[in-house]
Amino acid sequence: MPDPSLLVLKILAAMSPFLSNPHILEIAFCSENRETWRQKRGEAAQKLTTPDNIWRKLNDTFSVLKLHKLESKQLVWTHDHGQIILIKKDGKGACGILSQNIIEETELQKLQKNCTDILDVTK
Amino acid sequence: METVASKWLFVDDDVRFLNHLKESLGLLCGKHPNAPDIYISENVTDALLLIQRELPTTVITDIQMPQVDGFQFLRLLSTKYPKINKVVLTGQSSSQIERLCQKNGVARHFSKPGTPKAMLDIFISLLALDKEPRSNPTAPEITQATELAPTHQALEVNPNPFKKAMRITGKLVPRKDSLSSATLILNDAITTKIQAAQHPKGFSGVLDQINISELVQMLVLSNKSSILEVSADHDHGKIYLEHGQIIHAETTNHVGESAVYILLNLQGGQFELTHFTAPNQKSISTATQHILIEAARLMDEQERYKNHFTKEALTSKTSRITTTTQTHTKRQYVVFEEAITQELCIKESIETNHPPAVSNNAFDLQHLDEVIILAKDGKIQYKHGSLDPAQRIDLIEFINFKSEQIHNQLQLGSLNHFQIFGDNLEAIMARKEDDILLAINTQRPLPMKTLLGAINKNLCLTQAF
Repeated sequence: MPDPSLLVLKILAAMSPFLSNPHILEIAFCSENRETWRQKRGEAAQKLTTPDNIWRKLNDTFSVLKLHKLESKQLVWTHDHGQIILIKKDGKGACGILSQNIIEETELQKLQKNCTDILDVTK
Repeated sequence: METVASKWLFVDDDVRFLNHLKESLGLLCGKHPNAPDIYISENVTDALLLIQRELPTTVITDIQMPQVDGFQFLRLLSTKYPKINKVVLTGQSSSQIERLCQKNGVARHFSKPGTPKAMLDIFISLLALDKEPRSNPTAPEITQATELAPTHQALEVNPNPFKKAMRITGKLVPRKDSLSSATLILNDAITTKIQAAQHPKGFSGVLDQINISELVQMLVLSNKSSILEVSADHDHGKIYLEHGQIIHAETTNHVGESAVYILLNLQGGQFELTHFTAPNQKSISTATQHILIEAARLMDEQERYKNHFTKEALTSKTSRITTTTQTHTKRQYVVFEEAITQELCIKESIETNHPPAVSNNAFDLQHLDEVIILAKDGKIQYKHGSLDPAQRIDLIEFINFKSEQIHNQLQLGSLNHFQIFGDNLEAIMARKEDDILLAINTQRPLPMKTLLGAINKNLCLTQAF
């Protein structure tokens, strides 16, 4: 079985090119055992140790939606000043993207597909 | 008295602290004639596996941990491993934590050590604890109050086990019995019932004083095979247990783990335990303990967001948030109030439910599988296809709660809309002014653009349709 921490770092590394997009401020990954890492633009990846970090809290949404019989793989929060995208794969975890602007529909779909591919391929 | 070698398991999500602890205790223990074996685990799941394998004499746990917090873990330990000494080692200290420690049968409660001297004190105290006789292992014993409180006080601390024991055994527990006796009687009673369940006739009951999670945990502990059938107002289903492991579960619409989570989350209702017959399929391969932990976490998460909307929380929050968010918070409260008196309100809304006035931007809502629109006052303005509007209001509450967390931590402003994508599912919750729309399509994609366009071109949703 692969080391979960290693998987997290591999996935974050695969996602890091997203940070070259000027709108994207932060990427994150929350593993199945809820180990959470994030990387801000221009900074190194960082493990979030406090249980009340926003990525872990948002990741819980998948479980609650499941209880509401709305089993989902992708979630998008669009707020006045930015967007959060979460893409999940069972058995791996969920990728997160924080954007300071609202991403256009086509670009959003592209991001979602790229994240899904990363989750599918990374082992 | 039989001498048992000390085995200590430390559980904490702070890996650096654990490593430091192991290193320091290693140095201390190396010089001690009765050096204990030290185990560490950074999460409860691994800890439970370790406990199963090594059966430690003492488990020392942190309180604030992800997935399952320390008190949930302690409750699980009390049920499954009552003979293990339970110790809390935490960075937090408050009278509430003291009270919860007492309630959960914690033998010692320490603050995380900051100095070698503090570490040595803990080490000595843990060694002393292992030497203490454990004739009554479930009795709570607190450092500050070395003697178990008198019976009536003990029952005040946690009256539930006493009540449950009385209910299930059908006999009065003498007043002189302690809290732990009540718990033991409860366990005995349930075990007896479980043993009785091996008889094909089975047994049934009302889920009132005991909940489904507790019942399933007892069945798991008994390592028996049986079928637990549960029915409540909203749903019903079956959980298949084979040799104490959940192998299959089904509800009206779900099979597998999701069915277990739904069933464990049911409030009230009835259960029936019948003789085991193999299901048509085995839909669950995940370890039962993991499923129970996940279910506990999900229930906690639900509780947290429900409690978030209490009147008190609202009052304190309203005073420190911006005007824009204040409007939403007030609305959330209205929705919360609505949820409490949902049956009356929904009935009223449905009785007066006319599809709202149609504007030029509108499209036929009937084409969507499910739509619910909540108006400014929190009442259902329009609903279509929703079997249980109360559950949908609950979901809207939850999404609002999450968006508020985003607002508080990331300052992204108010939520405009929230999209959900599943395999055969699309859903959107959109907010405009104080109106909220939740639309769900299960077979076809949602006309997101049309929906959002209609929402954005109009001042409020109720005018849009």
